Amino acid sequence: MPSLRELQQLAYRAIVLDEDAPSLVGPRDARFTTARLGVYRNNARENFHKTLAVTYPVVQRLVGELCFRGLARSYMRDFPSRSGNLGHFGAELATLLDICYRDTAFGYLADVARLEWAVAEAETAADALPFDLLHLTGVPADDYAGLRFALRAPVRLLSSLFPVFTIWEANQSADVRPVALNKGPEHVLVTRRASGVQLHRLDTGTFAFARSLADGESLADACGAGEAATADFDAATALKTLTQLEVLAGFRLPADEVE
Amino acid sequence: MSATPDARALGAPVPASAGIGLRSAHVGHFIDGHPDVPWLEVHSENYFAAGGAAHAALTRIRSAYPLSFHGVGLSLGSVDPLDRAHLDRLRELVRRYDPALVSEHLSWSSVGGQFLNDLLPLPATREALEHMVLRVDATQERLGRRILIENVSSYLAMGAGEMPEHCFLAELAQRTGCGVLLDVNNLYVNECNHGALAATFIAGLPVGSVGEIHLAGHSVHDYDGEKVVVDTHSTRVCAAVWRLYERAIARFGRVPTLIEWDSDLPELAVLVDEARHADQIMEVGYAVAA
Repeated sequence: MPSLRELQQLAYRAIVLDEDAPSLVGPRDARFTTARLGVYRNNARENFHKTLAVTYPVVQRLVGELCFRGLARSYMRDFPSRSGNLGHFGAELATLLDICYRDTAFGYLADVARLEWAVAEAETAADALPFDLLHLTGVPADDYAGLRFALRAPVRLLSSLFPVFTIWEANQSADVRPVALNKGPEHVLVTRRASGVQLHRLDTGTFAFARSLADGESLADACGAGEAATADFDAATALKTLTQLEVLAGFRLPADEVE
Repeated sequence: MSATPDARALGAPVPASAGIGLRSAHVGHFIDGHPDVPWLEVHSENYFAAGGAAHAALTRIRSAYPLSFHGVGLSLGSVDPLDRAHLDRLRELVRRYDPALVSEHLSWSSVGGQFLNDLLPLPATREALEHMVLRVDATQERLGRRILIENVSSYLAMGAGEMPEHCFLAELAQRTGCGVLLDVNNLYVNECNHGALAATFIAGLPVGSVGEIHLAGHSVHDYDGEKVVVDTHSTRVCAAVWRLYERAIARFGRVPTLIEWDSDLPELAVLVDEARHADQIMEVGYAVAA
């Protein structure tokens, strides 16, 4: 009789890879093997498909139900679940879509998946109170340039060569609205506020500014990133926008830096 | 009568009456209306996220209802190393919400680090028993408390058992101090699929070992021309399972009992109605001969 480890290996391969497994079952159930394995195979397919469908409703709508089922099946085999917590499952769908569709007319699908994964992360990230600019009133003006801001945990920033925000937005309602894929790059801020997860399109300069802050760079460097991205960048406006959207969680003074 | 924070203080034990599994579609009812349900069970992994709306809701619900945390992802029967990160997250949740009951399954889910995220049956062998004893010991030690282990439904007996499953569970409970979460619908499903008599299982478990009972509905599916009874949690409890429940109550006495419903979820009132029926059986259960 196979060891417990061998049994579990046989079962996994039989369920996920559809391999035959005559030595998996005891004599009592030998005549049932194929049909009964079908229950577990169906459970796995449906469970993983449902998990992906909940996380990626826009991708599913874009490719259609049948194609999405095929993607889910490929994903289950090529990117197996690595956790007993299904909340982690699906993180690499964009990678699979890149493999399948990069350099095709459907190249945008991977970035739409990245955006939907960012939404999923924002929904479950740690709670964090928003930052009020009034907290800066006590900071000496000489220290402004060296300030480093922390972003709230649910905040995600995503940039794409495709109009991913427009695609996502167009697929939030029941009616079909065509999107011009040559519309150009879009930069998206995903955050979670009291009312739930929100998505906002950011201009190039504000996005570069926010990206720099997210990377831990100083306010001066973030302003430089914004100015490098667009000539008419205005740091005060960008900071106000990020504050209103509850992007920031706090800041560190230059004196707080650890050498 | 409605549940209020005063009536159901934090840290209160789960009463020996019938509660229901909390599902997201019903969360609003428990926040806004405090329906009269004595206790609630949640899937532990649904609260593994760091923050968000689910935690905000459960924090409010916790102030009015005793909770049970029912895990589906620890994969205790797997030969893979015990997932310490998963166990530690469960520990944090237990500390945060102080549930009256914590449970997991007599099953495995992963091999080689790859998860099926399903509750796959273990063979009732000495090797599997020794393995489960170590895993339950490690889990209880890390959590600092007793857990309950649930018998699972099975469609294919993987490996040849060396003992009846109730003997496996009884020895596991005796050696680790864990309790048994007796899923009566799973017993019925296994009786239909394998011929393993549910009544024998109930009669073979020691009195005092059962800390909770699960009740649920199932459905019959056709796989390659063969009828298989599948534990779908998608219907009312069937008459045969209610009879087995009467038998279990007659043997084990009043035990916290849960109505589980996951697919094709009906109005909350249907689940409450099922729970009321379980309560009625508990009221008269001692009079029923096992």
